[in-house]
Amino acid sequence: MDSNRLNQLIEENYQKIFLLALKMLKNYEDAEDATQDIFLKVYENINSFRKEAKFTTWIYRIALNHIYYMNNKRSKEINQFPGAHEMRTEMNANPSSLLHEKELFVSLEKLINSLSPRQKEVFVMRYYNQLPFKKIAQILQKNLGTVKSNYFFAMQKIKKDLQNQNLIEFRE
Amino acid sequence: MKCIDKNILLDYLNDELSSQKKKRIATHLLECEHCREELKEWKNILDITQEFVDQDVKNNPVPPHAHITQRFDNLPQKQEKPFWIRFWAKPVLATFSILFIALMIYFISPRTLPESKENYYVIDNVTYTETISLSDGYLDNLETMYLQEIYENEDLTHDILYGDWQYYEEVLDDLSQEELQELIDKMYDNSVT
Repeated sequence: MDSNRLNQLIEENYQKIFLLALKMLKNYEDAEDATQDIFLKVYENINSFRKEAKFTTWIYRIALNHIYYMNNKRSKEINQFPGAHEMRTEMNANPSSLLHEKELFVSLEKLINSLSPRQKEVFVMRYYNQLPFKKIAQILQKNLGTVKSNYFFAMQKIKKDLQNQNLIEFRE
Repeated sequence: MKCIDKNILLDYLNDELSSQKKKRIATHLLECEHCREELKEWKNILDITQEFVDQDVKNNPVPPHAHITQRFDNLPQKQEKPFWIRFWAKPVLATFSILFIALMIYFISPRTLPESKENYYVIDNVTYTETISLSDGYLDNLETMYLQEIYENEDLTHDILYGDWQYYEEVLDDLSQEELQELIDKMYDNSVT
């Protein structure tokens, strides 16, 4: 693969991977670091990349591995220094979310953060990365049905919670 | 037709169904108000989510990453191995390793096959060859077994040592040719009846 094509692919995927990291790690700085690390990993291992899997699938797999690794590391750190957690959650309050006038969006952000990791990764890849379900299933190496049911439960949870909070009108 | 499953409704909204299924659902939606309402609710949710995501993406701009893409410019070209290594190395290596393993198995395996033994018997001027492929040890054991049996059985020992073999031989020697023939005939008659 020549470097021009490679650069193009990275340019195309950088934002998507960043958004994935941001949503999974819930922290802008962490996501920035993670995205850099992910692409450095891609850079280091580009020679071992074979055309068996598509390039984007390969990048997403590296990204998810790294994100889960970061999450584990962070949760260990938080367990070691319980004080750090409070500081972190304060920092986690994304400045953008404060600017939302709509109550709806604030609760949606909370809702998305409260999804289980499996549901969340599918949700983020579907909405933030705009991948088709088939591709998501390929990346996660799961059945299409499993991916779709993860998505369905995530959406059902969002719907129920929004209805319970009376943020959208619903039928009795 | 009964009402549509929620997950199928979601598939319908996400355009994940075959055209045939889509048609079937569309016709059902024309008839069923309940499903129409349900679809409307789900569509509303999906729209709100999409709106939120678009907003969120706008609010989180991509961090600068030019230094990363620059790295890829200086990526060293992958060195290709010579033609013969790419196409021949693996099969040749495989053949040799299989040969090596076969030889090792041949050398390591124990040889328990006993050497066959041939005994010659001459009976009535005809030579019989008996091939014995038992191990020597086994034959020795067999011999001692028989000897032991002979020593333990006094009658047998007596017969062998002082048996009337000589007597019978002498009797047979004394017989004339005709008498001998008669005896043989009688023996055959006895054996037949």
